[in-house]
Amino acid sequence: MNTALEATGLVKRYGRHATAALDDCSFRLPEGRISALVGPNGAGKSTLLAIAAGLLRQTSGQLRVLGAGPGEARARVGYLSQDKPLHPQLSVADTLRLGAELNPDRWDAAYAAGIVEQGSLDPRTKVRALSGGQRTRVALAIALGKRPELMLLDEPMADLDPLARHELMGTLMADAAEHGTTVLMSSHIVAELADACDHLLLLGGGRIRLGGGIDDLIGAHSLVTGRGDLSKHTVVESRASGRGVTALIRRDGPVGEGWQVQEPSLEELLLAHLRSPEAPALITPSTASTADRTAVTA
Amino acid sequence: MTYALPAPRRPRLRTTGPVWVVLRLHRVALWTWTAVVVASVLVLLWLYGPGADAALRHLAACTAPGCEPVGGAWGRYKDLYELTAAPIAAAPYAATILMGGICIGRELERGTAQLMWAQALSPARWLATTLAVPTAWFTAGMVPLVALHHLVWSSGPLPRRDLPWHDPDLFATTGTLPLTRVLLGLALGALAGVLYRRAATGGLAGIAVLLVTGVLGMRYRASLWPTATDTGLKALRPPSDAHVLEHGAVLRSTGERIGNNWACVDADSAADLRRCTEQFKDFWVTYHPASHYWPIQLLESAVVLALTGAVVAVAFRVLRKHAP
Repeated sequence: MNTALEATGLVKRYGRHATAALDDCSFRLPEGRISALVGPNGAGKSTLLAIAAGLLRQTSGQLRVLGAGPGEARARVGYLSQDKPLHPQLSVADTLRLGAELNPDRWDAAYAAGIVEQGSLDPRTKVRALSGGQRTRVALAIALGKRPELMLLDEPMADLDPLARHELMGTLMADAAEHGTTVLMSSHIVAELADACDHLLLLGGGRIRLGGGIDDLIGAHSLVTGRGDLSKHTVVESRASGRGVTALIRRDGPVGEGWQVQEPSLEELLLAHLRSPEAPALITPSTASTADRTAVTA
Repeated sequence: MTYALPAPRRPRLRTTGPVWVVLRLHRVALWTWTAVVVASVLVLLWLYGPGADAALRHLAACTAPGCEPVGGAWGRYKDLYELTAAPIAAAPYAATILMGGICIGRELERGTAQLMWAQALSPARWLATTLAVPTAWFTAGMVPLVALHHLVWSSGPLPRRDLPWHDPDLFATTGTLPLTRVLLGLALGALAGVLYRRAATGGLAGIAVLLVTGVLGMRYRASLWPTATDTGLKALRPPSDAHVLEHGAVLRSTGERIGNNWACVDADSAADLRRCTEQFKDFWVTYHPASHYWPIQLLESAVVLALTGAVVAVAFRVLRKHAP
């Protein structure tokens, strides 16, 4: 399976003495996945996406984007950030023209115009007169009009009302499904991720804490309630409940007698890991970087 | 056998790609500059023709001893000339603010530069285009503006009256120096913009450094070219258009040159004054004759251009460190 994004020992430090935003971060994102990038504020999500988009240079380590160095695959990568910077003095039509002029080889004018028209936007409107949702639509049109192979989304829907969010996510996901675009999307809204994504990267302390297909990750964990010995499993989080404990565990073999076992939801899995930053990392083989996999097999 | 004729090339006046983007984004500033240039050129053309004639007639009517020409056609001529010097003098600073504040600082501050880098435009190409388009635009305006301004000055009555060639304001608004200062201003704006990534600081830091280079130029340009020295009687009458730097006397006792010395000024009788001047063996004057105008202009311009090149190189390095 081809690789869309692969980080090896990626480090980014803002200023010489600052703590690292990314600290020896390694992972691999296979092509065609729709991956959620999750983590507490300041975990390095935006930094990772900006480096992948070629907007920021890492301090050390390596990041391959669609098989090329960061910035070398610019033409094939789409990027959308939360604040959606657009030139306020341009009209919607001129903003789309900017996309066309700066993406000479890949621009799909009809498609970009279609996304804008779906929002019944007048192309002559100045960007400064647009609402948040309309701005997002125009920014999305530029990002998708270049027909990216990899789409990087940094909390793209954070400032939108639920209706606009639902509509634009629909546009985005339909596009990704139709063209097999790889998507890496950071968000705090777990429900949004659970619907759209089939892959997960959980960032904490500048590294990947959890990485892999969502089904694989959920399947590797169990939510257990009861009493007894859990020491042969990895306990991510446990708390007292009634006369026993409720714990989210990473199973190593069958769970013993006396435990009521449930499959955790994505939200339960994420919250448990966010609350227990000291839990050991779990990265499934398809998501481990090549260097790490070599180290495991060696 | 048939030969396919190459399709005739359609003339393309339409700009495309990043050049179109930069022209579109900053068109208000660029058209403002064009309007200033066109207005100044019109005024200068008038000054060169009817304005100069009227001023010369006004001056010719005032030859009696003690007659100082004021106001009238001459006054208008001088005022308008100085008015057209203002855009030339301000152009380097305007270029710095445009580049550092608007084209680069503001674009980086509000993230629209990053929006362009997220397309197929690399940061280095973005900086190159953002520098090149205003540079071409400013140059296209500065060349006719300064050439005409220089012509009006050198062909009219101004050099002999109010504005000698070494006047600091005139020196910086004629010749090759103004254009090179505009280029330096653009370069400094670009560097300050990529360093601070803020509109306000990008513009102001660039302006501050440009001001310093202007003061340094004013202070040291006389040292750029060897001066001429006259002694004896000639030292008392240097050419009327010379830029006199220092003059003084040579002491009879030690042969020492004393410059700008006021020793004999407080002599209170003719005998006292004679005694005082008897200690002098000779007089001397160092100066730049008017023929040194071009060597100094070209050398200072070369220094400014070299500095411009270095600043541009540093700006690209700073940006490369920030983004690939």
